[in-house]
Amino acid sequence: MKKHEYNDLLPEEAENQEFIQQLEHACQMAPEDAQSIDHIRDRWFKVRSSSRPLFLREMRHSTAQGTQREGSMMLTTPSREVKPWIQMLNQMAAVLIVLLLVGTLVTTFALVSASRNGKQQIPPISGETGHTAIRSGVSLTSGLRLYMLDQQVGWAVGVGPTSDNNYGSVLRTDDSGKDWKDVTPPGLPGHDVSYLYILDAKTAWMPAWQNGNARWLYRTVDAGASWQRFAWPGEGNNANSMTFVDQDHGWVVDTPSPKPINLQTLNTPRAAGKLSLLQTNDGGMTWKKAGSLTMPGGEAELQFRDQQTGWVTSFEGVLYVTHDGGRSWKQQALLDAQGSREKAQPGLIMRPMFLHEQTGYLLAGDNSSPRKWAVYMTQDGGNTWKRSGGFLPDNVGTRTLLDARHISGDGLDARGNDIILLLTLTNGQWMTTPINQPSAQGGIVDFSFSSVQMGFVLRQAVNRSFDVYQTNDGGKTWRKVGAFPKRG
Amino acid sequence: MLQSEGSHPVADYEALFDRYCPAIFAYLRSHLSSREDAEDLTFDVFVAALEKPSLPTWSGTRQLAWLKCVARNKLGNSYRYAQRHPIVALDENVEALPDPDEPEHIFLRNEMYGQLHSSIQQLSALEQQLLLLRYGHGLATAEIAVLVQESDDTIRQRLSRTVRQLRKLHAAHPMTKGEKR
Repeated sequence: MKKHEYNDLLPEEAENQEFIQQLEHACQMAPEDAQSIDHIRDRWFKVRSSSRPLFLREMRHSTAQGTQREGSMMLTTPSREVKPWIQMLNQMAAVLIVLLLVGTLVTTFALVSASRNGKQQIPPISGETGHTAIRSGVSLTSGLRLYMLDQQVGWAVGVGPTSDNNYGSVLRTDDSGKDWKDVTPPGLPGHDVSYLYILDAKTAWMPAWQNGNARWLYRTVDAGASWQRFAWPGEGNNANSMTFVDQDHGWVVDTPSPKPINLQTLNTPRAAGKLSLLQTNDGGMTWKKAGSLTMPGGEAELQFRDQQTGWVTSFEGVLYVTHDGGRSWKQQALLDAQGSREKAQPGLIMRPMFLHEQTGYLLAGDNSSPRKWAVYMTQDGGNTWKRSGGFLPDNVGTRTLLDARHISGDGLDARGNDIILLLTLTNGQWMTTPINQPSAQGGIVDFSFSSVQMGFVLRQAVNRSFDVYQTNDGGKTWRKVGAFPKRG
Repeated sequence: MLQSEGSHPVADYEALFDRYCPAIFAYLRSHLSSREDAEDLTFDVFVAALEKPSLPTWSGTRQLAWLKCVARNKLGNSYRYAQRHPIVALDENVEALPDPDEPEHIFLRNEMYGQLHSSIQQLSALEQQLLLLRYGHGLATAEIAVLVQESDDTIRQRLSRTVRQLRKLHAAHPMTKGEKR
């Protein structure tokens, strides 16, 4: 049985079996991993066939749990003799816990009282505050992508020179999507263009890959009229970590050079705690080490608000903040809706995004399966992150906060087609509303809403052209405003 | 090779090991700097499985969820212990040492599948992870959903998109433009 002969075959797999076989080859286990699996299997089979009690484990390696060498035995459930002084310690600990509980109750009463007197800060609910400027940069990656900063200005990446080749160009519009100008850096092979980091209407960065390695970093500060080319910083390809706060100041995580594809090479360098944070003060021309990222679990997401203050989220679901440009980091707690520290630690936290200087949000997923996501908002520039509403509904992807009570997302309808969704915070719960799609034929490729009312959809028409539709009334009506340029 | 079928139980311990050990090892390896630690904890997880007689009767997704839960707990204990008793791993500097097999290995692979690797590198980390779990470890979408804690529908949607995008990326490569797609 070949691996690609799955019982839960996706239509995409059924139609491209030859490509799937290539993928299986590309994703096959590295020899060193296969060797590790063999080691584990040998040891495990010995245990299975052994009649020894299971709590006596044969340890082959020096582990974090101890320093036993090969052949030594470790008792995992040692018996303990409870001594009188331990009992005394236990009693003292019990007294301390009671004191702590009393203290917590007093604090809680004080907070409740303050809340009733209107002293507690409540995030303003402003349903019509569509942002016209992004404070946090936006990354367009993995495919044909569209992002409208406001009603006029937008960027797209991945549109190619032929109808069959959907990758290879950077496009920009400043007339609400009517005309799209090809602003691709000159001299680049098309296949290298698939990622764009957008800071504002005029400023963007584009990493370019060569032979699997990030090689160049292009920057424009004049809406794509001209580009500067710099060497890619560091050894690795972690373009997803790149973040800028203005034309000049940015950061990227230096990840060691990639090895053949496997899960280990994806995350191990991060987990190793040996990552460096690189910083540029000249838009990417030169980089220097700002600090190290040593948090357990490794760095998952990176974001900076200004030159001093930034956040890293770890794969362990912990938020870290720096106030010195990345030289030092400390943990930052997420707060529940009442302003108290969340009791349960999230399983995963996405990077904070700022809508304005003081207002931002982040999404945090819990440890359940499937993961449930919640929104945390800041109204004070990231000093506190407070939960907004209950969990988001399941099966909503690509979530972007439009304002304090609206989220733009997408999902699937009953037939498996992509649909655009609007989540609205109503009585403390996020409610889903499907947004009407443009009635024309063809699938949705991407969409971008800059407010509840204003949105754009990119559709691939039957003739393989890419058409842009606009709504100014939250999807009630759509009109085709333009199309991506076709090139021979 | 077992069929990728998340809802059916893996009926015996050996089949359970063969099917899920690579994914559990990869999960632990991605959180630990030492390969040996990852091997030890993976071993512990599957020894714990032997102490769970009802495990082989469960559905595949439930088995995988349980194995991941055990792995996560062991990882937590490992972190807590390591924080209290920091040790210097003997192989800490192994990355600085040349691996005689590695360059040749990388070269050969890159020769054969360099273009595909190049395209995969341009995907996000999550998309790469989906590809590896599906096509590297042969897991069902329902099983991947358990590992990455998303719904099966979401995984199927993302995986379809990822394959679609990767095909286009790969097809756009100058060396593969002439290939039938």
